Amino acid sequence: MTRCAWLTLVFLPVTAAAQAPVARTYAVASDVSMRIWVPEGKLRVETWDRDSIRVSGKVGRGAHFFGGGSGRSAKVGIEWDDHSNTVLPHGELVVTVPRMAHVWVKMTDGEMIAINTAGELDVITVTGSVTVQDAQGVVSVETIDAAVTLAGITGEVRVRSGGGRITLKQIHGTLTAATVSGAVDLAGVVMQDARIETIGGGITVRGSVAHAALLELETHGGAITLYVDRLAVPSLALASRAGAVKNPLGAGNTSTGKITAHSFKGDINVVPVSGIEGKKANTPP
Amino acid sequence: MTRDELARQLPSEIAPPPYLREATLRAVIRRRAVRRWRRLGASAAAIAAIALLAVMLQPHRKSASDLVGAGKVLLAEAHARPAFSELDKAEHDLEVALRDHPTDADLSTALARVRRERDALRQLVQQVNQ
Repeated sequence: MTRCAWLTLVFLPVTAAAQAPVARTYAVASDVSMRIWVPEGKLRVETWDRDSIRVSGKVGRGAHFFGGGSGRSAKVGIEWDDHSNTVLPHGELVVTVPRMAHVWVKMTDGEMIAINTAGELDVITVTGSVTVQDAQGVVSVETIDAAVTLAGITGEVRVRSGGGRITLKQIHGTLTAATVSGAVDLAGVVMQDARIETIGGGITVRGSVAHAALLELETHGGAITLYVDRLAVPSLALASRAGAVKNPLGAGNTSTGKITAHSFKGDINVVPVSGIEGKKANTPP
Repeated sequence: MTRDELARQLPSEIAPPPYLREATLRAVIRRRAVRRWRRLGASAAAIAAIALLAVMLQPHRKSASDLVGAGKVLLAEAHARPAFSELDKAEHDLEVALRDHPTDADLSTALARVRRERDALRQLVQQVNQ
C-alpha cells in the first residue's frame, strides 16, 4: 500500500506533465465536412451556430495534435510523434462544430459523445462507447463491439455493430439497426419505418408504433420481447421457426401501427403493459 | 643435527610490536577483500558481455505488432472474433435446415442475410484498420 502511494507520488507529476493541452480554432463554412481521428481516449462533439471549429482538450505523452481547415473541409486528430509506435495514441478532445457540419469520426478504443448535431454524423469505432443525443439529419454508427446509445434522434439513423449493445430511445426518423451478437433495446414511439436485425442478440421493444409506421424485427437465435400497451395493440405478425411464440394480445390493429417479428430459433414474447407503465411506453416526448 | 638442537642454535624470533601486527593484519584483510570484489566485478562484467552478445547475435523475431498500426489491427480482429463465431453458428444452423428443406425460400433468404452480415463485419474490420 505504502509502495503504491510512493509510486503514485513519483509518477503523478510525470503523467500530469505528459498531457499536452490543445486549443485551436479554424474558420470554416457552416456546412463544413470534417474528419476527426482520436485513436484512443475521449471525444465530445458539440455544435454551435458559428462558422468555425473550436478544438480543446489534451494529448497524451508522445503524441501530438494535428489539424487544419478552411472553407468546406477540415480535419483534426491525434497521432504519434514517432510513427513507428504500434500502440494507440491517447487524447481527450472537445470539438465544437457548426450545427450543419458533416462530421466523420474514427476512433479505435474510447468514449465518443455527440450532442445536437444537425448535419450528418458518421462514426466508426472498434470498441468503447458511442453516445449520440438530440441529433437531427443523418446519424450513422458502425462499430465492432462498442456500446451504442442513441437518444432523441430526428432524421435517418443507421447502426451496425458486431457485438456491442445498441440502445435506442425516442428515434423519430427512419431506423436501420443491425447487430450480430449484441442486444438491441428500443424505447419510445417509432414514428417512421424501422428495421432491426440481429443474429444472436436479443431484441427488446418498449414502446409503440405510430399509425402507418412499420417496425420489422428479425433475429436468428435471439429472443424478441415486445412490451405492448394492451389498450393500443399494433398489428402483430409474429413467427418463429423453432422458438416459442407467446402473444396474449392477439393480432392487433393496423391503426396503431404494425410490428412484424421473425426468428429462426429465438422465442418471441409479447408482454402486455397497462396503466402507468403502458402510458409511459406510449407517450410521445 | 636434530630439529631441537637446530632450534636452540637459531636466534629466537622477535615478535613484532602489537600495533604493527594489527596494521599488517588489517592491510592483508583489506587487500584480500579488494581482490575478491575485483574478481566478482570482472565475472559479472564477463557474464553481462556474454549475455549482451547472445542477445545481439540472436535474429530479431518479427511479430505482428511490429507493423505500424498493428495494435489497431489486432484489437479490431480480437473484438470481432465472437461475432464471427456467432455468424458461423448461425450459418451452420441454416445449412443443416436447408439440407432438410432445400426449397425453403425463407431459409435461403436467412442464409443470405447471415453471409451478408459476415461480409459487412469483415468490411468494417478492414475499414477500421485503414
